[in-house]
Amino acid sequence: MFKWSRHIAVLAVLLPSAVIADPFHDLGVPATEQDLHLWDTNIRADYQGLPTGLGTVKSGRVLYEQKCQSCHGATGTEVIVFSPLVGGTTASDARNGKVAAFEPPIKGPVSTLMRLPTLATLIDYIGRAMPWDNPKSLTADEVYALTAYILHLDGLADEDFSLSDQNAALTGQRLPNRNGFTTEHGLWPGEPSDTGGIGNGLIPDITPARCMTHCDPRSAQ
Amino acid sequence: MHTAIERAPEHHLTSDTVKQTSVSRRQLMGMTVLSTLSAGLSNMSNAQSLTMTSWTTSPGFPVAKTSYGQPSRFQSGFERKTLPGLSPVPENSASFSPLQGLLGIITPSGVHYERHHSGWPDIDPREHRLLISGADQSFVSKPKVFTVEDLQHLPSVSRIHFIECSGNTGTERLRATAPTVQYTHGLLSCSEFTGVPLRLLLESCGTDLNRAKYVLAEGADAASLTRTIPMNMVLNDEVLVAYGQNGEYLRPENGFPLRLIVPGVQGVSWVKWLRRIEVGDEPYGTRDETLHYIDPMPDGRHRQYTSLQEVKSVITSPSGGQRLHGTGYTKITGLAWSGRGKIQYVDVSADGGRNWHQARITGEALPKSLTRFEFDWDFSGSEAILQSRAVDDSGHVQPTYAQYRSVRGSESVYHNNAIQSWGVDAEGRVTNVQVV
Repeated sequence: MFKWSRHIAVLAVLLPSAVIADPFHDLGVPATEQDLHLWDTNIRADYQGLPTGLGTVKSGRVLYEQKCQSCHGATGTEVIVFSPLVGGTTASDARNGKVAAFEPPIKGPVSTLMRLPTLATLIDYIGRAMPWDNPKSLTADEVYALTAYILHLDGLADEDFSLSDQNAALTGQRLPNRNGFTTEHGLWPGEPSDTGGIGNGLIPDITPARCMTHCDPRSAQ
Repeated sequence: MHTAIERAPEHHLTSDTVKQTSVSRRQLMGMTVLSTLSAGLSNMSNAQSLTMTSWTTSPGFPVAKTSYGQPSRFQSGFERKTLPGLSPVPENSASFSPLQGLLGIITPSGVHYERHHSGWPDIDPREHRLLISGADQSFVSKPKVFTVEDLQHLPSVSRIHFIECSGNTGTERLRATAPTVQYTHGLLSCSEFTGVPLRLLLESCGTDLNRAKYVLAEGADAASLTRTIPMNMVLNDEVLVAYGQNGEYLRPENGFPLRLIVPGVQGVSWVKWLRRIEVGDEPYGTRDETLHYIDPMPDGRHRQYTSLQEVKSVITSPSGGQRLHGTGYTKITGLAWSGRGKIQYVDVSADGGRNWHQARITGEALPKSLTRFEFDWDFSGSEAILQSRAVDDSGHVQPTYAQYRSVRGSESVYHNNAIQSWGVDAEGRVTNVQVV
């Protein structure tokens, strides 16, 4: 015997679910504190996100010889596998915060410390991607120690120096190329600097005309 | 009469032949040019009278003989290749797409260019996760972890976009060096990408979209590469979290199972193996925004956060290493693209940039996509210098090397979008040259 009541009951269950008001809100699972602790490790250019820790030049030297030297060389100036870590900067560069060797033409290999504007970046990168064959294996103390030793190799820190989350931002003021960058250009597709972003709002710096006849291909802009 | 084109010998390029492509200074059309010399190999087909061929007189192969179809065995040399000596570490290197053999605008996924910073992982998608959180708790009220399957439940969009490494054509910044278009311009590809607007995911996590200015994208590879992405491209739904490419899942070399799509922006920002998004109000100054992917300028400073790929084009045929046989009608074809929008015009010059003619755009010009152009040229057998010049719908015109260097100098390996020249000599040999 056909039982309407049962079918109506089934329809009553089905109908409300035919249109879901917000089908996406429950996708994904909440991230736990442990998830964030394990994965959210990046350190921003303004030093937000520095892990608690401390490392000395002396302990950095031991670690460097064990884990870094085979690729980066004993002094960090060698080109063994990758470009040099240190070298190419002067005491005058460190005072000015701008590396003079970048005046064209640029000669010779360019080292990490020639370019580096913020120490946060180096601390972040060593912890994230070094050593090459075993990235993310270093403790925060070891990352600070290696960073301190690299600064020492470039003559920016003495033998007794130690680096920590407490003095990292201040130590960044020693970097020879800390003022060597500009963001005033037309290649940032985000909010421009006049409203708190970066760049000039995509205004091109090279603006040729569409010449069709009797053009001079050798004339500058 | 028309010419026949002898293809470039890309598949014979070795360390020795690269060394042999020595730079010479010579005259073409009364202009001084710097060029590379490249040997050519003949693979011409000869016209012959009709016959009954064996494949017309006997049955062919059964269905599903190959479970995943392969190109014809007669399509040779259509391969991505790395440049001998490019990097001492093959996991931190690049391979170039064979532009000279591409048809239309889509790059087959198997020859998509590669640039990896610490090798490519082969990830089990069931174990992959995407974490979305804020620079502090005020930006994202409900940080979440998503599976790949979660993302596939969301409404998808599919869009065709080019992707170009900002180092593309960087070898040419001082003078003509690379022998073929695969090496001058092959850090370039174009695909249909399928995925989810990142904005949907951010909203699902309770993101304060008014205060957020930047997102950080991070990969799951050994380098865990990180890049700063502008929030307004997320808000206008241009930025996608993609899982599909050209009708199938992403290839592992291109970021399987998840990759960020940032149209018009240099390839390094299209973070592969995407595992984390962080929302904040300050740029991140990551390693690949401070030590690399920065542009040294004539004043000794570096431009930082240069992300857009500007209007650019290149003739892919005839191009370096190829040879024209005979004279008469020659189809010139190539690709144009712009990170600012659609391609409006492409012009072609056969006299080194003195006189220009508007080329035809084949198909529809899509925003931030490769666009194919063609031009009918009469090769008289006299020397010629072939160039293409693109104009986008913002009115931006691709610069000559003289215009480019007068503003940006010659030090930056990044963002070189200057006009490429191919010299054609009286014997039809095509070489990479620069008008100086």
